[in-house]
Amino acid sequence: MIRVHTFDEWTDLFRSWQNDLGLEARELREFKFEVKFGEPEAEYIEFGHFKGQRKWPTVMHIPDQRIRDTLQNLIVYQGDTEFASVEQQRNLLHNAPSDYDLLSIMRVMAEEMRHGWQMSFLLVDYFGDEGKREAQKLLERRAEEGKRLLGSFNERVDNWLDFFTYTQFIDRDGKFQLKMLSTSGFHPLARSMGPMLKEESYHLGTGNNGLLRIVKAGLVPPEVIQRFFNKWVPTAFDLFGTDNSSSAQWCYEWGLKGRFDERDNPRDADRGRLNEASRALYRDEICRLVDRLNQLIPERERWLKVPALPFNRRIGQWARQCFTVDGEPLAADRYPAYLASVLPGPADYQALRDLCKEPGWIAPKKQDGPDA
Amino acid sequence: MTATMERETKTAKRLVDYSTHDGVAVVALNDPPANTYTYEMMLQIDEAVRDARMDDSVYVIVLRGAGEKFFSAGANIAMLNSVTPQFKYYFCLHANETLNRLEHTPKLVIAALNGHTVGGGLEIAMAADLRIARREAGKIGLPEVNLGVLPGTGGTQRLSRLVGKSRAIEMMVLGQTFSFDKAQEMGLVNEVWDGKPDEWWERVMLYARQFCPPNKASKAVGSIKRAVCSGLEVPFESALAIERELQQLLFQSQDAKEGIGAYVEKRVAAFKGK
Repeated sequence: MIRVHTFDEWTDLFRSWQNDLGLEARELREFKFEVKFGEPEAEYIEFGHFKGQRKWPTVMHIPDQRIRDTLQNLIVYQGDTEFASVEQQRNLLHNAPSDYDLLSIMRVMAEEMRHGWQMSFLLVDYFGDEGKREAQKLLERRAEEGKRLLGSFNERVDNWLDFFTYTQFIDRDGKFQLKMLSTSGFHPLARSMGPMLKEESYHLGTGNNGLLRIVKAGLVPPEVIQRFFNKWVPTAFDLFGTDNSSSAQWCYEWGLKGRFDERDNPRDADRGRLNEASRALYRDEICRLVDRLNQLIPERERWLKVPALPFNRRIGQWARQCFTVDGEPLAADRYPAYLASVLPGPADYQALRDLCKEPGWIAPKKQDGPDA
Repeated sequence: MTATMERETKTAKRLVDYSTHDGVAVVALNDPPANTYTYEMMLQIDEAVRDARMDDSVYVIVLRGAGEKFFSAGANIAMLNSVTPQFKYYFCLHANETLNRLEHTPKLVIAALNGHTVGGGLEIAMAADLRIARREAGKIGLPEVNLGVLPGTGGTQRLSRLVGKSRAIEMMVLGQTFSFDKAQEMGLVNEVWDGKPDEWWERVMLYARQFCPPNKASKAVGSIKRAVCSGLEVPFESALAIERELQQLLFQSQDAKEGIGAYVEKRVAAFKGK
């Protein structure tokens, strides 16, 4: 049933959702949620069949219903991740390691909510009844019920190492998605991305900075950190979509979603491998960041690593196959035990909960190493 | 010679504005203040429909009322009050023929309800394939019962096909007029859009253009319309035969070749309406 007919009605629903989640902190309640559009970076469609035509200012300007439907879907998925991340992280508000970290997570959560707000505005304002229905559903699906649209956003974020790993890897995937949408032919979506990317960069910095502080403090064993990397990185790889994706190809052909480096890459897109290309760029980036963490770990044999692409994937050519973190094939009968040994288990969660109560498990902000 | 002169005299006053814009023919009923129709206007509507039919560069027909207040308030009551019953009979017959001509035309017809759409105005709109209204721009309904008559330009038949028997009877015996929003809930109107008249009209035209080449296979659009309009009026087996024959024509069309080829090659099709 549609309860949302106007954006004001949607904001009422949003406040109810906040109440349901118990987001009562003053900083979250008083955050100024608003729609922000950046300056247009390109007036004309930048790639695909309609390249060179003026960007579409409204949905009605889009010449084909399939393009409209796909565009709406892209916005729904983006919005779904924003609200989901708040649901995943909210429990951490009560046990922040410092005032600085508390303010950081509140800022991250507030800005994720603003991003969801922005996507909901687009749906309500531009997509008619169907958009209103979808904007409503963004606040009805719940991560804790496993109903969010993408796997990563139904996973539990249990502790602060989890949070920093999540913001480092999943929010960084978010940066890639936002950048790809920033060249969209649908002008209101493209213009939404500038302010969102600016805010997202703080979230990535929070993750990177938090991990640096944990590694620097030296109390959480790298092996435990690695298990959390093993938990999040494969889902982040999954977020780029299937290999040889037809959907990605159509999104490109229709000018809805470009490559991560669309404006800087002079080569023609390899349309059959668009997701693979973005995933590779993402992998390069996180490998560099993990290398920086390793500079703080004296024992080379304990260095952290980015899991190989085939490890523990749920979609694409490696989906549900048996590979080690290093990308070696493994017999199916040995795989469940192996997986249990390389992913965080109940003992890790309990140990971290205990550790997080001790002072010094994370270095204070003033002792930060290099930032993101 | 006399007949020709007489016809020219009758149709000398322009009561319908006809124009074409990028594949869309716009037929605007134009007899202020309420765009009520007479035999003369119906002749001009008829002429406009035939022009749109024969123009290969027209793929969609949009009907609207001139001005901002009325789509049409229906038949001109003063005219009805001054003519013989026999004239009224032939007037209705010709109106039926004209509106049937709209339905028989394998080009999409959109009624843009820019203002009050009542009585015969709604009967014209119901002969269109889609109806798009401007929110709060006017009322819609069939109040003929208040004049002691029935909606006699296809109203009783088209309304019942659109909203069902009981609702149609209720609406007509009450002589009720209501908002476009309610009409949308009933399935009588497809879309109700907000906006100032100019913005709304721009949106209607954008909407209409999406059904034109190169974006859409207009021949398929026209055949879908014909299959539905004719199929609904014949036994099911015959309706399937109509569908099958139209499909076969489409299979042989350039657009089907292009559409299927483009899909396989993952590119945007460039339809030509052929």
